[in-house]
Amino acid sequence: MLLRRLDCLAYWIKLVVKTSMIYNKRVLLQIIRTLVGFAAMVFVWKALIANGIRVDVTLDTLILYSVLSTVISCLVQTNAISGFFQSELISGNIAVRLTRPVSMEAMAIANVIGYSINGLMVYGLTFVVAVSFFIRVSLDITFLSVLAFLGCLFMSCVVFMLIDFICAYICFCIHKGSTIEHLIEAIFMAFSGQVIPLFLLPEWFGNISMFLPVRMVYEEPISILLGITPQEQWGGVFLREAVWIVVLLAVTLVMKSVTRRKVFVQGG
Amino acid sequence: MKIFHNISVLFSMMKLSIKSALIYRVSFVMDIITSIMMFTSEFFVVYLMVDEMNEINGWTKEQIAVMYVITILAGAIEVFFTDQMRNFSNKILWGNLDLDLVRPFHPLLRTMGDVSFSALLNVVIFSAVIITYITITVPWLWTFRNIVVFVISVIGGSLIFSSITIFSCAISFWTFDSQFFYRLVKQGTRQLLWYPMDIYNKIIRLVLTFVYPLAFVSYYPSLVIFDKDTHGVPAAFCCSSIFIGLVLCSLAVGLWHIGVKKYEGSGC
Repeated sequence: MLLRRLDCLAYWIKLVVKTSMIYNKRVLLQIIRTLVGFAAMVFVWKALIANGIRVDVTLDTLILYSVLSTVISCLVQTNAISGFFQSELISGNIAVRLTRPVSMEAMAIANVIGYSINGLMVYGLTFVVAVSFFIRVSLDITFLSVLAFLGCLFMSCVVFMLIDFICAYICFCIHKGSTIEHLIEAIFMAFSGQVIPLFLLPEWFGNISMFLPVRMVYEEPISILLGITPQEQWGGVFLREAVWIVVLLAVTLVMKSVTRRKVFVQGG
Repeated sequence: MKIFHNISVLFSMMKLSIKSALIYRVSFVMDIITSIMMFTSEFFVVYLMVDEMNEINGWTKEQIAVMYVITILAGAIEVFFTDQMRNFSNKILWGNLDLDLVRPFHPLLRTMGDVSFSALLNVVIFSAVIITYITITVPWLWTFRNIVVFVISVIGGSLIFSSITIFSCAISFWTFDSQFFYRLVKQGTRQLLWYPMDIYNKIIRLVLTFVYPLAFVSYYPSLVIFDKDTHGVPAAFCCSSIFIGLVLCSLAVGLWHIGVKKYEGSGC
């Protein structure tokens, strides 16, 4: 039974990857947008360095930060779960979904994995190949820091997925998930280090972000790889990430049990 | 006489559109609040970064804030009028354009009548706050000349942005996709317009000045507002965004009319 379900999820992931790649023009468009956004940031970093930046970082570090944050944004797909839940709620398909043998959460996770594979293979890889023609950066990256980065990144993906699940469950109550999606995007834009590294912002701003899980998705893994976070602090980062996973998981489970009782199916 | 009739019909349609948006008050208010939060976080991180670094290529945080406000206000006016045009290709694909063509009203004006009120309102509220703050910190800024340049650049910028949307509609007669060109030009260059153009290299500056003159939306007018070196470009030319916008819109509407002549209908 379990194998059958896993087989079903693998098939679903394959479908998501395939359907995401059907729209060639959108793929091309996304790649161009990613490259233009990255180019903008490279010029901003160059201008800041020329200005005499106050923080002790090199241009290579900042460029590599932007490369990594772009690749991570290809990996973590915004609103993949909440968007899926919302569309099922609005269309009324939720009634059918909830009676299927494979749970809706499992389908949503399969969706996320599918989008992430597609994002990483199509956008992330193309972006890295394209950027490697134009930019040469040299940084001391050790095998250990790569391992720590990958571990931290995996936990970041879990954090991101749980946040998306919470948004998805809120959709059960408010029926229009776009508002909560905008709210989360706003928090991510400011406090995650997605566009501008938090170490370039005032200290008080970075201190606020320490109390938010969104920092775990971009800033922490990248800082580990680039050596901005010293090795002796890695344990603390992993611990905070684990705590956030436990907290978010607990919230997700509570919300799941509460919202399931609230399902409103549109008739007809 | 026909012009007055068209304008009066357009206003009636806009009024109806705003009224229908206000029916769902909670949703409307939530949309505005979350959109303002998105703009705030987007603006705030750039503002704080420039504040932390003192300036970027000679541009202070207030100057970058004015550039940002001009860009988003122009964008909001464009979205207010042309939001529905982005789905123009659906009209062609589903055959709904046939109906618009037999109506005694220009199809583009008909689409313009379906305005996006919340998109304008949230930017106006956000911009008002930022402008008030800038006025307090830089009281000498708002001279009569600067107010005129500011208003001209917002109107001109909205015309330049609108031309992108109308071009997208026109191109969709051949490609059946009214999103690609819009997303490529407007959204693709969005991040580039956050920062002063002089941080970019020559190629990007040439593209944004001569290929699609988006530099005239906020960069060139800001040079005049802040009495910066215009690199030999006459001040009148820097503030010619209305003229450039009108020329581009005329070309776009011309292409749209060529497309309509070619249109054979695919009604279903």
